[in-house]
Amino acid sequence: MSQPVLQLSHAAIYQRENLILSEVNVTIEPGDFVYLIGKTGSGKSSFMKTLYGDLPLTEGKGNIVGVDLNGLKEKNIPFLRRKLGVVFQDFKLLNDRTVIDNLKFVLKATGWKDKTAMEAKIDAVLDKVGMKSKGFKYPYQLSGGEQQRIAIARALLNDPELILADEPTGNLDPQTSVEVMEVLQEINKNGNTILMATHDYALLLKYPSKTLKCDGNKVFEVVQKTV
Amino acid sequence: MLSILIPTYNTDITALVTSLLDQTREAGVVYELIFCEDASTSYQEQNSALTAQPYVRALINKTNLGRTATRSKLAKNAQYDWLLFLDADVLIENDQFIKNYLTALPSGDSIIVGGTSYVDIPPKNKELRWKYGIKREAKNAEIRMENPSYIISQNILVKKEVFFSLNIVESRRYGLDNIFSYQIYHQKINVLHIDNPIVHTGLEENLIFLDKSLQAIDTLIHYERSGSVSRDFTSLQQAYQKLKKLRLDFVYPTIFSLFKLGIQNNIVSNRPSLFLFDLFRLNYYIKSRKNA
Repeated sequence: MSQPVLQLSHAAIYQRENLILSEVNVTIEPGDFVYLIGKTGSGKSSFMKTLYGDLPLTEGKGNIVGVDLNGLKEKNIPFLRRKLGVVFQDFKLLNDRTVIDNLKFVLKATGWKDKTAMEAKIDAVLDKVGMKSKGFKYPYQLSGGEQQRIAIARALLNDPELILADEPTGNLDPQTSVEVMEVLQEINKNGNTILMATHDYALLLKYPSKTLKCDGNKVFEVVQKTV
Repeated sequence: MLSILIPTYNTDITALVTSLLDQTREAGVVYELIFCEDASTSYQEQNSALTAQPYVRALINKTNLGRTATRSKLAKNAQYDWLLFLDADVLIENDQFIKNYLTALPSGDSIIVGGTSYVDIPPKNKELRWKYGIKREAKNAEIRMENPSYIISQNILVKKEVFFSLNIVESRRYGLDNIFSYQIYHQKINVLHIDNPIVHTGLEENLIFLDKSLQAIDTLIHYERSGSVSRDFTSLQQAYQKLKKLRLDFVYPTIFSLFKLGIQNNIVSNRPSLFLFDLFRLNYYIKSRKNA
């Protein structure tokens, strides 16, 4: 049996001293595609932030990609982030350099040195998101959907054990959202585990999968038709 | 072992931060970079993209706290013992910048000051700030070592515990470097000046700089009174003490008022005289001191 990629038991999520979610029990297995839904303010973002180390886990137990979230030290956060790929709602691409240089910058930051290996890796991730021909463009020359695909490519650079996508379609129109979703689905089929926070219920209907809902300070699994 | 800390307000820090990240990688040093948006209203989105980079974090002040309080907040959030403070409105042109600081670390001093520099040609309408910077601030390390306590805090490497002992004034005033420098002097902290300047690019327009200079004098007088700085620490205060000795401090404003308009016109012109700027500030200091 393989280890779960994410396991939270009796966890409480706090934003500063405010309790946001309590009694959180969540397990994500390798290869899963899991939605995290809930209204604005229901705790989705805090939940995601706790997973990538932006908020501390002080109550309950948590383990993500083999890293203990309890007592996670600041200095271990970069290590955790390397094992995760994070996709943000607002893409977070550097506008002063090309797509390739954006990706190269992250590789260098995570210790890559060999130029040929870096080029091959960049080529591979751009291929996965269907953006191989756009490597020399600047982010501002791309549409929102294309920028998000680049951000997904960036998340794939260090072969993450889990991809956390925080409202990845939040800034995109419905048609583009579907395109980005197709990319995430494809990546999931190739074996990547994905946890995606969203409030776009149309996507859930189109691409049904395991769904967690934040509501009333709790997280629970919902069956698709009751969503 | 290095926490790079940048307070920022309405400034795009992409170029600064990415050059720092390139250099820290190159130097192979363990680092983190934290910037703090001090209630900025522009460039926040661009800067926030930097947080997708490993080892980069952002803090956000909902209300404007000013530079010194923001620095304290950054220092409290830093995990390493050496803090490299950089202002947001600087650029790094020297590709050995980080390495130069690391090389200076074994000196045993608690503060290492890299210094500042300016572009060769004065930007239009910003001649006063530029000239002041070139003539009064952009000095090589040897000259700065003659008066080591006096520092410009836009580019310093400082031990965390020493920083907390020095950064005791957290108001939102201009001119707090005088107070910080006085604390260095007063607490007898060892300072090493090295030639590792940034390029200061965020220059104020002439009128704005003049106004800020006067506000800095208000700050100086305020903290003179509270005892956070001595009455003869800066060259401005020393000039006043000389006048007072000669019993000229009472007539100075009267004589000055005859020339005030001409002097002011010169200061904000495209060929400002720093001597006249000093006379102007001295007059303001004398008058404000009396009124305070």
